[in-house]
Amino acid sequence: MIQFEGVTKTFRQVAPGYGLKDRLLGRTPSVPRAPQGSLSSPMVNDGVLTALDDLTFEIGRGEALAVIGRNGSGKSTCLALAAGVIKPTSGNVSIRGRVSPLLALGAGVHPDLTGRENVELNGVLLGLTRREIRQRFESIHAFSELDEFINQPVRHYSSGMLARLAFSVATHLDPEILIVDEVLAVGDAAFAQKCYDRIKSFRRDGLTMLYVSHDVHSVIDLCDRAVYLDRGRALAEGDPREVGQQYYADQGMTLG
Amino acid sequence: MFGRMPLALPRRIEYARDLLAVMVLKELRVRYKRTVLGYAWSLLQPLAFAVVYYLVFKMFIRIDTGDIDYSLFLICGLFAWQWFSNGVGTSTTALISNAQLITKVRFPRVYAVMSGFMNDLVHFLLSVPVILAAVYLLGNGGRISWLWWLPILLVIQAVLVLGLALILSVVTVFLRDLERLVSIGLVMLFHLTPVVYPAKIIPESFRWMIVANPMASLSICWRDAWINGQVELTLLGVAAASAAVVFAVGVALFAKLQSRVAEVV
Repeated sequence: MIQFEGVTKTFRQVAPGYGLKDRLLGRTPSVPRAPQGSLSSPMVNDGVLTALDDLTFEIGRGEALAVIGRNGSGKSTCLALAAGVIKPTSGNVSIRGRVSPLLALGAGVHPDLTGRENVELNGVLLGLTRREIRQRFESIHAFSELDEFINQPVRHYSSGMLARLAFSVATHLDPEILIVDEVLAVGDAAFAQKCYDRIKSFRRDGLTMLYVSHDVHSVIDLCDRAVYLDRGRALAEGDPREVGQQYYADQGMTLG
Repeated sequence: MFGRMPLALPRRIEYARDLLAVMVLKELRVRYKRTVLGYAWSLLQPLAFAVVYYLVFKMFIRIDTGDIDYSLFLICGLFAWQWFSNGVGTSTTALISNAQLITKVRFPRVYAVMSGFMNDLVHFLLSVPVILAAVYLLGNGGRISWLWWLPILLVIQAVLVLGLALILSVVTVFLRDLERLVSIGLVMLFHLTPVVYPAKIIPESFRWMIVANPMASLSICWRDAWINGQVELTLLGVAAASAAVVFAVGVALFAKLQSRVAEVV
């Protein structure tokens, strides 16, 4: 399960080109002004950007929660905090269970290594030992549908093949918590469907899931609850269909 | 089979070992996969430089290294220097070049630094047979007392290199200029370190530089150990003390700054 308690995350903005010279000369960085008018641009004060502002929610065991919101509303920060990559400025994030971050798809893939070598590298980075990967290799290989390409350097792969490799590794981790970030937009239609089915079967097995997407239809299909983020605050929380409708309405659209 | 193997490692330790192994393998494979000569480069580079230094310092400047053959003199110092220089030089980008990973996956950041460090350590170990061959072919041979000093010097230099790597990798994330400063600094330090010339030609008034620069005392020790099978204990102590200080600073700094790396890198 995942618990966010009064989580605030701020980032100090770094001005482009601010280096040693400016630091030695005692210049303060001049931060470009973010447009303040639009609905979802994050709050910036004195070069400090507030990505999440006192956010509280909880995902119980076996529950699936979706986070929706426009670009810059704090969704990615949410995921990075849940994945444990960054720490909150204040508040508390607690995670119990083995996390498989599907947001990390292909993060550790190196173009000069073969598919097989990348399976090992990524599997270990995501928390398996080499022995466990060897045991699962055949299953990963079969799911990826890469056949003999598995022994080719990844730089010869198409982007769809790369996504298949990464997704195959990520779903073979025995996760207890799945963190999913718009991964379904990869590969061809058939493989996207296969990924979607895989996530659904994870859900049937009672996995906890944190899901981020712009696609409200998949949110309604996959999740029990939804949180609507705007400028780092939760505008609404509850039934995915109702929250999705409000999100659409705010953008002058209607949910079909 | 027969159930759990009695010698199986606890999973945490097995995992730590495997994480280090795949990171080191990645570095090794990536560094050499597309080169023809592969690992041989780690030997060819210092040997090629040795030829040039021999030409310049022995033939042109006629440097005096007493009864020690100058090519042996070079080989006994250059490999250790190359280890230091590569280890420190690549550490500045250890975290930056793994930005993709660091911003997406939660793994102990120190492994990104450790993998580069291990890589350079392995390369130095691979060059040991070459140094040994040179000692036997070009030296007066027959001494095996270097055996005692080899692991001691190895540990001191490893601690020094790892300490500097921890400092430089994490500070470079916040101050990118360091990458340039370090590559310039290494070339400067090379000239101030008695690697291609003996320490005795340094005038008395500049001798403090040997104490101030841990690689100076280490270079002298390496050469003494390989060629004469003994080292000057004062110099060894100086090198060990500075390595320990650098390492302590490195660990403290890395521990303090590592949680912010993912936000900045």
